[in-house]
Amino acid sequence: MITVNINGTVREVDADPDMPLLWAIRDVLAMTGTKFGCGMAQCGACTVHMDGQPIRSCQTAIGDVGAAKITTIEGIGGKVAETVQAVWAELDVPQCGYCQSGQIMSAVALLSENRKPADGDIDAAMSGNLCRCATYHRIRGAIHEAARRLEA
Amino acid sequence: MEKAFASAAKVIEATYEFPYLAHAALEPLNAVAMKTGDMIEVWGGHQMPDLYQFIVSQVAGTTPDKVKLHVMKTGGGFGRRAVFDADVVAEATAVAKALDWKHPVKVQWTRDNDIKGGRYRPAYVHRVKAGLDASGKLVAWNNHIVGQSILTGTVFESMLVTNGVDLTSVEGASNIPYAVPNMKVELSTMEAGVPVLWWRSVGSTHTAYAVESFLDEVAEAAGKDPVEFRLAMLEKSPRHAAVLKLAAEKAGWGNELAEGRYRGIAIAESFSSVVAQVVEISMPKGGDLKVERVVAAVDCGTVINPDQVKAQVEGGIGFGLGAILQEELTLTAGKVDQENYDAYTPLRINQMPVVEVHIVVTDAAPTGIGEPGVPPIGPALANAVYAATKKRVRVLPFAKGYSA
Amino acid sequence: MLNIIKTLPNPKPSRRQFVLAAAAIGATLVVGFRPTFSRAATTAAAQPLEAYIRIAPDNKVTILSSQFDMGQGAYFGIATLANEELDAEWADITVEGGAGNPAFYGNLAFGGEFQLTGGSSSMTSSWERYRKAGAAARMMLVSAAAAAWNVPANEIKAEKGKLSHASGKSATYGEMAGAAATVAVPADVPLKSKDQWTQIGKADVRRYDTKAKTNGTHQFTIDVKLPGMKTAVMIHPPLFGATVKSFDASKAKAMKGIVDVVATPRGVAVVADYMWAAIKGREVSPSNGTTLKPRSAVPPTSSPSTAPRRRSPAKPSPATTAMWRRPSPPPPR
Repeated sequence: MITVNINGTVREVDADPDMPLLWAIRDVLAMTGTKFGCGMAQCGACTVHMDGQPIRSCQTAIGDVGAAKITTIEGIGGKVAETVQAVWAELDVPQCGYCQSGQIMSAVALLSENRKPADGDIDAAMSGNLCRCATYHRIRGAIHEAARRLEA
Repeated sequence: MEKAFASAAKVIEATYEFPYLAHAALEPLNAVAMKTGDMIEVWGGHQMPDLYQFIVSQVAGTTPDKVKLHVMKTGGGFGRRAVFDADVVAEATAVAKALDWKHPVKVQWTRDNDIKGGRYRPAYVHRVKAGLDASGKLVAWNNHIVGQSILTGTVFESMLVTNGVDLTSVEGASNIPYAVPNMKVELSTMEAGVPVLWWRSVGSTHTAYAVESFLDEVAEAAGKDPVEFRLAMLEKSPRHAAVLKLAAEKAGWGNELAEGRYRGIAIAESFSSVVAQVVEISMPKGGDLKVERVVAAVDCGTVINPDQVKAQVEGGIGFGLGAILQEELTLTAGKVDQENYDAYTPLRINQMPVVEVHIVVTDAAPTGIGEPGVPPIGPALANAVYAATKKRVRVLPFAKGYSA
Repeated sequence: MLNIIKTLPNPKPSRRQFVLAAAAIGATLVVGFRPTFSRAATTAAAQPLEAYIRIAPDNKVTILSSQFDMGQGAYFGIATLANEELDAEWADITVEGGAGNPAFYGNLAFGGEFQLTGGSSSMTSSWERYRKAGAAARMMLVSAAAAAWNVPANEIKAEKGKLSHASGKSATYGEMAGAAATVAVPADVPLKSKDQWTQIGKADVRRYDTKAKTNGTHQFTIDVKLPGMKTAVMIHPPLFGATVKSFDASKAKAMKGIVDVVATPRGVAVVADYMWAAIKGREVSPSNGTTLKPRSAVPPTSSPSTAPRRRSPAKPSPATTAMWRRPSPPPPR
């Protein structure tokens, strides 16, 4: 048994320590909002927060999580996350939606640290998150809009 | 035809090469199969349900009426979920059957299964030749296309392959809207052991590039502005002319650009819709190409939802741009060389231009919008790059065919 | 995907004549189309799969889409067409994929004989069909209300999921659905003219399915979970067309979580209780592909916090190995 702090709750996970956090979240903890896309940190679909920082859960072994606090798309909250999710929906950012949990996790992490990101900051923070529908134009617009609302 | 070329004042010719492309949707292919009583149920992205129902029944050893499909929305597709042998759907059924139907079974492809799994946009070669008269008018046009057929040997053959010509190999080349007095489009269909498939906008993924980037060369040889040159040949295609004018006007075609900025334009009809795009790039001397802005005009008949039309054109531009710039699927001794997004590289956000979409207002019935945003981006970009560098990119992707 | 629309300029059902059919399933109104030459009208009751629109007593409106949605918004487009005429509350609308009867779901842009999403044809194929289904459902709700309230049908307003009359009588669509399912199906279904549209062409009508795509609740095939379900990963042949000659899974079968390793015509499947066990049971595919080992440099993922941090995997030796028969050359044509 491995103990992890996930979405504010301490959970016992019956898994080998080498199981990627992604599969522990999906298959053992039965939360499916975090997605599998590549298995090697190339696409960002599996992005979750570890102590507030975005990480690729497909490359993080559950045995390495330790006491860090993990947050998934199911557990995000607070002003930044709520604003990002609301703007994402208002601007109809998603098309297929498969990558969007990861996009939102990366965007929330960005806006939590940088309340007024420039395009270059967005590129730096978001270019690890692939969107094959190429909703990038709207992702960029949504981040700027969320920043504007958070400032207000 | 030969006569027209022989009497032309000027003849130019170019060859274009297009690689295999993978769909590489974010959700790797998957399906879930289960048997309850005598009913087989399969969950998946069933893009051709009747065919899949039949194939599942064959694999399971039952009849189609004993197969129930649950159609799931998928994490992308771009054509890959409409496959003639129902690949992953058949696999899930076969695996559940091999386990004596004791458990429901999900077959989940990993990324390497997905990228190495075949069903690519075929590789193609185009040779295009144009003849101009002394006044600079295009009088002869010959486009020879070489590549694999997508539909020969499939259930669609009787419908879409005529006299050996697969419509999906020539669409966008055999039906160009321009009035050219002598025109010949030829197809040589090759066989190869690589399974191929439709990939978002199908034939127009390559035909639009060959036609519209070559047309830019022809306009230059004629000493004409690319927009004026096209419009002069579109008198009998008012819909195309209107779309081209709208894009040019909204993009400020002809206006002076800032230092280091360049433009290109292209237009393509696909799926009965017409889209024109003006691409603006920056290319500092010795610096990297950056696609800054795309202004698109679209006529897709009656618009069901204008914001979604815009979304599809924005997405189509990003999807097409990735392929034109840097996507390429290669094989060595029959084995696919790429297996993940590190080597097969769709567009990322840092490469995405600003996109502006303008919609033609019309009362005509709705036509396509999921795919028509894709074809013009390649040639419009190629034409902008020529404006910047005086180099024509004729081998795709740019990552391979262009060196500054 | 195909430019067939160009060669079939009239996307109306040319080979089949469609009539409306309706049925009650409990107190649910089901509206669909039924080919005239097909079975008796009662068939729709026996096969709710054939329906286009279901209206349940709790007001839930389910639109069954002939077109598959891979992200381009076909479901939303079809729901917009149906709801332009039906005028239900968007919050009550869901869309499901319809399948199982080409006579109902055949793509009209391809002749209507089989169901296919492609060629960017979803709106072309659905343009009349789904507006008519919505209009028919609305007419039947109005007829039922007229009968129940004993007032002329043309005095009844139907909008935003509610039926109402100047006398003060009102009912939700759901409340009237059961009665509506018993009224005669209208023979003639007039559609709104363009100037009457409130949804088609309106940018302020937004995708109904976006919220679930911003909070992780949208369900994809990868998220399907059934009681007792096992997960399999595939080992595909390294060459297209090659088939399994033999395989050795003795090592994999001894591993935790592995259920079985089986051959299929398309490759070897490693079946496990959960995905990670299946991946480990495959470990390295014979094509030398590894899904585990981070290979070259991570693409522009900038911030170090997003870089891989994981246990260094022991150099894996294949848990399952397979031998393949080379593909046979294609038959001469």
